[in-house]
Amino acid sequence: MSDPLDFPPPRPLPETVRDRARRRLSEGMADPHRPTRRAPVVIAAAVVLLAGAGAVVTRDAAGGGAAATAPATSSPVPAPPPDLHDQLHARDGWAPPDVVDRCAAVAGDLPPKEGWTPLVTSVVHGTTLSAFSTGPDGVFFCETTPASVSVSRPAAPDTGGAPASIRFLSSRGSVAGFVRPGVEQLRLHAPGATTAAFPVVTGDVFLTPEGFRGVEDGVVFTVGRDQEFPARDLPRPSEPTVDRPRPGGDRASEAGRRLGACLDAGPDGAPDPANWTPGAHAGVGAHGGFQLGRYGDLLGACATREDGSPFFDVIDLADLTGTNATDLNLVGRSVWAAVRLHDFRSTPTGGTVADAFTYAGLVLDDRVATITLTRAGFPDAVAVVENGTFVLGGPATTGSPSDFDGAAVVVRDAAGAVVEELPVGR
Amino acid sequence: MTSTRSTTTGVAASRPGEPPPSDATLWRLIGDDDHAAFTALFERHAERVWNYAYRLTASWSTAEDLLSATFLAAWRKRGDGVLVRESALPWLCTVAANLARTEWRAGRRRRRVLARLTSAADTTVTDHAEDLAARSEARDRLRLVVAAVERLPRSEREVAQLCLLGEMPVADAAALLGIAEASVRSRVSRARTKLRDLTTRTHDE
Repeated sequence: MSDPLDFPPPRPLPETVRDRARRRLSEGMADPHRPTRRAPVVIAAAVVLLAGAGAVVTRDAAGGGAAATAPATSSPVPAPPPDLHDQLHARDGWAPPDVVDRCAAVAGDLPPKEGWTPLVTSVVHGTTLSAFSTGPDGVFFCETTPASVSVSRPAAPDTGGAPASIRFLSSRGSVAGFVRPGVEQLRLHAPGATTAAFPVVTGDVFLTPEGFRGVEDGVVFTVGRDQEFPARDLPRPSEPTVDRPRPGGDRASEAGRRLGACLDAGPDGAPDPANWTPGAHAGVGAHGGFQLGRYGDLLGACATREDGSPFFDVIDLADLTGTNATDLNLVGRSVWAAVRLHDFRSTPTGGTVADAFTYAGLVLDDRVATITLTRAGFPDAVAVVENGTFVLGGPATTGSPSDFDGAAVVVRDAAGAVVEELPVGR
Repeated sequence: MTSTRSTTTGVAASRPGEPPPSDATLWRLIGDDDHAAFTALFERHAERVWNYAYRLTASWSTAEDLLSATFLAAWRKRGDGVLVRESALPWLCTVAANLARTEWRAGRRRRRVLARLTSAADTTVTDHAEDLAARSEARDRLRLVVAAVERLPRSEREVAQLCLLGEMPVADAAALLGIAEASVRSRVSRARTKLRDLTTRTHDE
């Protein structure tokens, strides 16, 4: 055996990795709330305190790739992350009553809903995924979007000896199934695709709503730190039943065409893509700007990657207040908005700054007519408001925290009366 | 002498023809909340921190997240930061190691978890390099070492991370840890012996 301390040589940092880290860093640094400043210390050799650990923001510790186990390095399954239920907006032992009704309405051969016991429900970006026990018939899963329902057949929570088994797949990319007793944390990835998921695990079921794609070539579970197992006997994706038909969104106007093209580009997409209506558009930034869409209380922001391809980012209110949300987001009674930094550039010293930001927002109050950002040292920025959405941009957010000192978004009605004033970053 | 200036957007820049600012110069600007100085520090050390993070975790995915987490933690703790021989890299490495260890112990590595699923635009799973690494014997070996490092006593673990995984000079590690170079050397030696023993036994089990 070769010396285990002969490590692989360092690699050049890929530009894509560097760029993603830049973006996370810029967004994190844009947060005006931070600990009290203290003078930096320069030492040559002295007793120093090592920095304590801060918030860990990481993905899975095991790399993706082909299924392979490494029993020699297996470690005990770690405790579930304390915030996983929060991240997936999951609640144990509960399901929304209207979801129960909708699931029951399309699941003709299931026992009466009065005998169902909700095990866990997760709601992400308009997709609700629940697990129910029906008693002797076993457990089934039900996914709802605003317009459709997909239901699995009930099955006994048996993994056949494997750490986990998948019993439900939907066309929306929801995944659910069972775990072996003792498995409290799980990662899924599709080796032939680009998605990975960390589902909620409750008792002997797991689930994760929406967006898991590329299962055609199989799914690999990672249990614990690095034990990988291929999933066996994948079910066919359940066909959705449209139980609440909704009008299709405009695709004839220029905004509608832009939105439609973006939604079609997927693959993560949005629930019920045909039903999204176009919202505000602003040609901000160096890569084409934002085309917003709206579907009830969901906001969609279509932007363009640097390679010119569009992507559609679904945002809901929960995204603005979660653990990783920046305080620059706006949450008010009449509007809410997510901030996006863009137009990154290198500085002469090799640093990176974002030259611009854009708020993508949703209007909640019919009185709202104008939305204006006021900042000291900058001209007022006036939002483009359209169809219950708004886009509001500005320059140079990451140059200095003082960019947002005293900044506020002022919401007015058609007569110019202030509906609401939202301080930025507080 | 390197000169710097702060613009209205806080950009720390050297004049044409002048060398880039040293870490110490950037550090002073960072102490004044200069974002651009901090991102300049990021650009300078990101690759080393990223490679070090990989050696701490044996995962390129986690290394990427540790990279941004390390610099964000460093930004938030910039008042506590120290330079060793005018370089911020040793301190950044300790931040990365502490984050990685906290991660390991507390099982919090999915904190960010991407409440939903990673997208094509923002995934590391597709990294071709990672796919290759996932299948490599080198990664398996590194995993053994990472697990074994966690079993070392703290004093040996620290030097193993800095000097063996991070290939930091003994003198810098001594300065950072506030101990004599001879102590670092002896700890490295003990750690190396134990790691070989631990990884060999584990591999043969």
